[in-house]
Amino acid sequence: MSDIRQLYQRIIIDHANYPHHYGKLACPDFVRTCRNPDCGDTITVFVSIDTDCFNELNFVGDGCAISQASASIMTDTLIDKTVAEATQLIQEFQKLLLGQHITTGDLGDSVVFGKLKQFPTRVRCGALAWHAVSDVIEEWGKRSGQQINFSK
Amino acid sequence: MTIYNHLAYLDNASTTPVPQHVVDVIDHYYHCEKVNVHRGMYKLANVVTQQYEGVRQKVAKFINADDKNQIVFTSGTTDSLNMVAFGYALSHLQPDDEMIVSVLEHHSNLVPWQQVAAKSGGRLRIVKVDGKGHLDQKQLTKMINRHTKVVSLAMVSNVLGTYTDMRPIAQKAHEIGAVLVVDAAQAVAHMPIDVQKMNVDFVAFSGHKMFGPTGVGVLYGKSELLEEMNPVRFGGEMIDQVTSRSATFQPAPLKFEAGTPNIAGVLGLGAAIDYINGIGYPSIMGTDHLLVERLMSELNGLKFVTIYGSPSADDHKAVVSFNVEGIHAHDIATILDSVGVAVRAGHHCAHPLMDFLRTESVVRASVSFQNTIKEIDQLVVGIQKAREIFK
Ligand SMILES: Cc1ncc(COP(=O)(O)O)c(C=O)c1O
Repeated sequence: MSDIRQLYQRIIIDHANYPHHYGKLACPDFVRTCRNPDCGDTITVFVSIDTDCFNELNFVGDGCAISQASASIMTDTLIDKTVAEATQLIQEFQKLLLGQHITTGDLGDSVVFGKLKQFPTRVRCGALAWHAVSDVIEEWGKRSGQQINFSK
Repeated sequence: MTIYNHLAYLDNASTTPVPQHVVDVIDHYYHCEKVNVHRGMYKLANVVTQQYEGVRQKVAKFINADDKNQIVFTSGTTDSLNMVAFGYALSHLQPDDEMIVSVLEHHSNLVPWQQVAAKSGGRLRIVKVDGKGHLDQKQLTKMINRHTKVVSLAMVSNVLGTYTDMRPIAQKAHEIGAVLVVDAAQAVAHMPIDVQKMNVDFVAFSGHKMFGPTGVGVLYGKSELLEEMNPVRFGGEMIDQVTSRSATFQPAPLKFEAGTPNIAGVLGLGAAIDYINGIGYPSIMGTDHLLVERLMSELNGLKFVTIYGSPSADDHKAVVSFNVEGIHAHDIATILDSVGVAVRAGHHCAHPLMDFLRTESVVRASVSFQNTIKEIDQLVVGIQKAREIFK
């Protein structure tokens, strides 16, 4: 049996209890809500993209520690990144959840979710916020005339 | 008895384990006599048909129905309720007619009626529960009126564990000519069901929640109602005479059992009834109560735990839902899993009830008589561990 503290590491508990960039943005360029129908967890992301840079990224949500901490750590990871960088990081994060080898070190604290693969019932919780941002990037692509698709 | 490899299985409201005897009966069918029912001319086909129909008789006796033809085999509670909704209610509802369910219904006793309301132009009304999770009888009495055609209620709530006495409700429904449908999915493994004593019109339950296999269930209906009720599936087995343009149907219950039925499932259901009868409801209820009492007294002692519904163990028929302050239900369930305790966390297919309780999700521990006090204590250890992790 996997040690449960591998999942609930201190950093995850701290982010769950004291999330970063929590709350609505006054004038976001993009708002996207994702919901996990199995468990009811929701994450709404508020994004401002200036030219092609994630200027601001906030979230609000409801749900388990994994989904909320993942959103919080994700905001730390993605703010100030370009859309291209964020796109790559999202793909890296998807690989991380699948237990695949990842190349960049830019995922920052989000690498703690690499342990999720030992808890298959919780992978979707960790992925929720990242789904929301990938939807935002696809929408950004549409608005700026580029085709960006994530495999989901 | 812990069946699943040292897992304290406290998710019996989802589905119960099956005893060896049930597995043996199913195994025997597949290994030695896998033939179809109701059609073969060879002896074995007749033997299996007899067994299959014997289970119908057994179910009738089990719920005290006076005629085995009042027993329809279905794929489960959801299927049974859909049959009543679309085979009976839809053809009996005029625009302006009403149906009543309660706020604590499982989605399978809510969504079919929503659909019937939408299709018929009728109206679905929702009766509330009180702070202890008991049906608001006053509101229900007011709600039942001459437009009411169907009242459909859970006998035991899958979230709060509260039990509803159907007798007085049946009487009120019958006074104005409505039918009372009972969702007995959560009741059947924990208390005897007597359809004549309750005098209810339809009863639905699932085999897999009463120590039987998945994919089989029962719909009981009063004879005259089953006669009026239309089949919702058509094809082989259910017909009487067929021309290329039309068909007449068998009488109930066969008109509702189109196609090759779940023969192994039905035989397994029969074995599950034998199993329950062998233990006996008095013993089952005694053990259930001891387990729930221990669970409630432990949880009541933890000031950071909120129990939903009644504070009294007597009001929880094998089901207790709760939350731990500051920790999401899913995190509790994952941490309990890590100490070998299986519970369910989530909305439990009861979104309206979650809204009513002002929460998104709850942790649900549900026992069967096979559980032990030690397993309950293990759950409490897990909750303490969760508190430590989240400190
Ligand atoms: C009260 C209640 N009704 C109906 C159902 C649906 O049963 P099934 O999924 O076996 O059709 C359940 C199952 O959880 C239930 O608890």
